[in-house]
Amino acid sequence: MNPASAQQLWSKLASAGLTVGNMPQAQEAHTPWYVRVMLGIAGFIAAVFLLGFVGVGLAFVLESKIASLTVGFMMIAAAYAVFRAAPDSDFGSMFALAMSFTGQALVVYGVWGMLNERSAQPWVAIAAIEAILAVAMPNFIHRVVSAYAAVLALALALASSGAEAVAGGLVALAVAGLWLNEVRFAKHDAVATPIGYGLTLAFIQVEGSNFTGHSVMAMLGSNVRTWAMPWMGEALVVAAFLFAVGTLLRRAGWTVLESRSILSLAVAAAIGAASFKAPGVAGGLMIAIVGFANGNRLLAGLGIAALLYYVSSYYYLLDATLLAKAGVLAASGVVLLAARWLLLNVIMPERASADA
Amino acid sequence: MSIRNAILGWSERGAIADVRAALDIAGVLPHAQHWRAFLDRLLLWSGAVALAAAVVFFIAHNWNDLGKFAKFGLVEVLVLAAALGYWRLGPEKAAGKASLLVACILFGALLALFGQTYQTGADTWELFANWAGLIAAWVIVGRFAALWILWLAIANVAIVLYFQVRPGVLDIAFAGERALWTLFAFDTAALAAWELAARRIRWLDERWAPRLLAIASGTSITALALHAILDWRDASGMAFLLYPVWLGCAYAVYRRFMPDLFVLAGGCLSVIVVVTTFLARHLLQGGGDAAAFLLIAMAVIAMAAACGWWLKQVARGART
Repeated sequence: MNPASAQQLWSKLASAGLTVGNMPQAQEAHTPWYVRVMLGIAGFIAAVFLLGFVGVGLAFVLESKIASLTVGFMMIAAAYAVFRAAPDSDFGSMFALAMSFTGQALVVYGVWGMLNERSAQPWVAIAAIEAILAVAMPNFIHRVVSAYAAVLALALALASSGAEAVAGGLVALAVAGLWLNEVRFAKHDAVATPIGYGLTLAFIQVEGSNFTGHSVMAMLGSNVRTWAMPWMGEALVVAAFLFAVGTLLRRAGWTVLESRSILSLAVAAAIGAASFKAPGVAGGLMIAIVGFANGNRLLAGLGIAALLYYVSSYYYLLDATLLAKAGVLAASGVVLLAARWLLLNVIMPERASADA
Repeated sequence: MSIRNAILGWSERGAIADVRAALDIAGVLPHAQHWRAFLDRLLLWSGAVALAAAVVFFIAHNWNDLGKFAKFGLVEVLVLAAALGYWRLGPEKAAGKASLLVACILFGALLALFGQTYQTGADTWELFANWAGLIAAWVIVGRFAALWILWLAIANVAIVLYFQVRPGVLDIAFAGERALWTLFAFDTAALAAWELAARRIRWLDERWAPRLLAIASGTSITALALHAILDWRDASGMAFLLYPVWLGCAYAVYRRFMPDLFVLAGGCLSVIVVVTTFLARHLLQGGGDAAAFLLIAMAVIAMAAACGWWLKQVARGART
């Protein structure tokens, strides 16, 4: 948006009495998401070579867990100082990003060696560290990556406690809760938005890991007893989907007892029930709908991309036959098309929508 | 910066009293009609894709309890129903387009069923090549971007599979490189054709599709450049010539003629990866020392910072 358009928008909001004080000075131009992705990947590549530098030139650091932890935290602290001291410097930000990623790798290495690898302890510690970094580090890319890493570590902590199945469901609730309360967090948008993207990406990843059909901990060689059943996780995802639909209905001014609200929730529940055995369908729909509700095209696109990813990955889900999967997909397809018919003819007929 | 980001930015600095009302007045939040149109499309496409995938999965299961004629009958009836659906609903309606997409996917399932039932001995690439060839007429009359992307994806799979089973009579070592060159030529030609056609044909003017093709073309030529650097004794070396040409063309087209920051960002990432690989190949031979690792890390940081700075300048220029 150019300065003239910004001024025009400000005047429009001011005339509606929605502004406070004068129009703020122009901020640093918004960086498109794909430029951020490019910079994030470059940061990882640089971090790999920085880690090589530490491994070859400062080998004594890797020989001691304490030294790894100390040097790792020092690098993260230095990165924080650079982010703070030179927030507008492209070189400074890239350098700090690479340095922090390297420091985190050293910290993870140290934590992994100092705590009981067979328990949830190292994963909980890593999740806590990453969660703190997601909030504290004043850099968009860093916050996305740290939030993503925190959720993955938490999912592994749950897995090593026998609750692997509920990880996706819990993250789905967090994703829905955060994005649906975006306006409440607007004063902290620089923190909340990147964390929201990190959580969403992690949710897509965690939900997608269901397709392997194998416990992550079993693959890591742990024989922890699983107590949480897969249905619990999917039930939580469907609950998050229903929560999102209910919140959006309320936001639109539809009361709970209205017939169209009840029908909308029933339709959402039917979609959740039909796709219960197809992980990701309800979650992908939830991301797409919440993204659209917030006017966030990137988030809506992420939800649609997640749906395509889930449908193509579903072929490889190991704990069901192709015949059973065909049945689940056929039921989901019929329910989705029936939901569309109900939407267009009963819940939101054309004339009523035009009047609204 | 989008309107949404501008309002959220102002709100963060305490300049907006009611963020939701501001987003609403600025037209960022959807109203009932927008919701109706969005949910219509979302439910239609997800339902159509789920049903088409269900048939593909069903055929892949090769259920013995159902006879071959029943299976053929089922898939043929569904293909016919989808094609009739397109004919009835017309090419302008989303439901008509969804019917045609389903018909095209189901046609692939029908070909797979034919190969599965009669054990024709054909290679897998032939299934995909025949599929692409037989639905080409539908794709042309469909006049819809997603269907062209599906067709191009099927053709890409056919090319990859062809080179897996026919690595070449003279030199097996070149098979991977030949497959990549073929993919590069095909996707680059498709990209050029798309960009040229989109200037005249309105329904092709959707940026996501040429961006996907640019990713495909860029990934192939980047992989070829990496192959030439890492395996220069076996590689043909053509990539050393064509990679800079591709970069120059991408710059000229997407910086000068039709600015597209997405493709420029992809080009930057490609340069970073190729230069880093070149440095690592030559500085880290035999294990490398600490200074070499540090030098490469700093080079990556410098390249990324320079690219980030340049892309932001381009973005700023494009908006003003």
